Amino acid sequence: MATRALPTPRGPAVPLFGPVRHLGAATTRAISDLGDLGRFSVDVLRAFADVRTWRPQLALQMRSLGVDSVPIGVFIALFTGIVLALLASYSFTKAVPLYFVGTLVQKTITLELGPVLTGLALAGRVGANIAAELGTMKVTEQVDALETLAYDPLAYLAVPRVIAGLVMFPVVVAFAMLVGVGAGWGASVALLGITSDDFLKGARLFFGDFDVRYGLVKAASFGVFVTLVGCREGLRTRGGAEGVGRGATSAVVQGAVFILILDAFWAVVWLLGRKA
Amino acid sequence: MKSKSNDLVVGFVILLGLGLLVAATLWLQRADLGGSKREVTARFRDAGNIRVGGTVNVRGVTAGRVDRLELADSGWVHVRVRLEPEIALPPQPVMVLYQQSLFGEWAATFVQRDVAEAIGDDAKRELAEASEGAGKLLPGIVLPDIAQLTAVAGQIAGSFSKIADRFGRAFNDSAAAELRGTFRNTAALARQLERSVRKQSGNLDTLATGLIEATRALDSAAQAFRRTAQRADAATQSDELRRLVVDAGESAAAMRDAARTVRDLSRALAADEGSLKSVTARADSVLRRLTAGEGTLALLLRDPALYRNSDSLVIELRGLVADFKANPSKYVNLRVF
Repeated sequence: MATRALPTPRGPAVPLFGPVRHLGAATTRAISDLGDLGRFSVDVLRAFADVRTWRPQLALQMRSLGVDSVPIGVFIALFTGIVLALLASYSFTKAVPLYFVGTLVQKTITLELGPVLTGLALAGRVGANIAAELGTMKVTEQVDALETLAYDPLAYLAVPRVIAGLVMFPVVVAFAMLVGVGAGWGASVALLGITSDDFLKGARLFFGDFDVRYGLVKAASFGVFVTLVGCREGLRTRGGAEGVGRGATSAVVQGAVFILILDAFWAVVWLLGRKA
Repeated sequence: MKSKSNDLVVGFVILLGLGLLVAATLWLQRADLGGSKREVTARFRDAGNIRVGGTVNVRGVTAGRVDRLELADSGWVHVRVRLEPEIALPPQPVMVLYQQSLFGEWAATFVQRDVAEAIGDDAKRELAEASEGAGKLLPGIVLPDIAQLTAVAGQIAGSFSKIADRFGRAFNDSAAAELRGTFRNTAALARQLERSVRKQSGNLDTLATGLIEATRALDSAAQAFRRTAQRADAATQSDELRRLVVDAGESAAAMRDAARTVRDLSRALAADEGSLKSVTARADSVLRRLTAGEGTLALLLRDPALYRNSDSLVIELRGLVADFKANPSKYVNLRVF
């Protein structure tokens, strides 16, 4: 279960050391939050064993978090692809052959922008949704009611959402990749005068199935962390509607931060030193 | 019911999204799902910067893609490509890896061996090494990339820089003084040249005068020629020239006939000359035999007794003939019964 962060001890009021003390307190709070998330994750993992509890909720959560998120992922990818093609063309003019627009659009969408932008959008939609929903349940004591009915709240509320995030984020990102590259292709042909053959030549130039695998694995990791953070923030909500709002905001912020940290993590761990 | 509907929608979306993505990936990779493409493997000492998925061109047309790169025994690198089945490789094919553009794209192509060997001695040596004991593998060579060429250009630039540096050191004060002296000498030489030119300009005037006179003479000659031409033109106009040409043609034909007659006569004379030679030869033979005293005539000429006997024989024959005429019955006696 979620635990509250320890209150920061108040020392003597010395203005000179105030900022230093705040820095120390923030660091301690961040580390304890991280530890709290770790413990929460372990609890959720343990709850995976309770299949009977979470299995009936899974399809609903997959639809709610994944299928219903496809339009926003596609919408973002559509405009990202178009803008990316235009930016690439603008940057490459008279310096680089324009078929490299295809290379840039394909690489950028599959490796980076597809997963990250979709992940950030879903962190807002899904993370806030989960935190608000579970927070409301928490403050209205529905979670306590579940416990009273001998339901494990983590198995019933958190596990199906985390599994839904794990499975459905890559699906949404897959749609985003297809639409993003397709939009870039369409924009290149319609707006930039690049032929389809040239765009495809560039797209195929350095393309490997690794690009797609990398993007999907990243998306899956984003899904796990966004849902985990959302569940944790929701289940540790205190103080009524205000607490729910705070929890939702915190879930979105933490989700976005984790997405960026994971993005860098995968780049260092999986991309560094690897030849395309 | 709602749960089943959710299951269906979720399953459909997952299948659609991931299915489309897999299909797009295979399409972008130009994957050979049916295994219909032809595999060709070549070996190299170094595969350059070629990547799996790199383009394979045959005579400038995209014909396949690089399928696999693997390190093999004895320091070889095997590069396997998949080609469209209808693509025909050149005779004695060699796989060449090259940098396709300045932006790091590498590609493979196939050329005939003699074409590859013409690249240079290094290529020839590489090919000989790669061909030795290659079995079914094709030999391959790698063309230097732009970076290597740039490095060589850099070395050349460095050499130029050194030369310039040495030149700078060599061009010290004394060299500068010598150069100034050279300039001075050149100025003096220029002055001398100027004087010579002035002197020669007088001669040139004389020459020009002569040229003017010669030009006048040429002009008068040209006028005379023009007059002649006018006369010829007038002759042409009054048909005299045509008649002359016709007469000349007829004369030429008569001369041709005469020449033919003379030729025939010569041939006849040549034949008569042969007969004459033969007669002369025979006469010569007879005379030689007469001189040698051979034959009846020579005996007659040389032996007087024989001559006399012949003469008396003739006389007797004449008497006999006269007697026969006078008394034929004496010699001819015809009896019927």
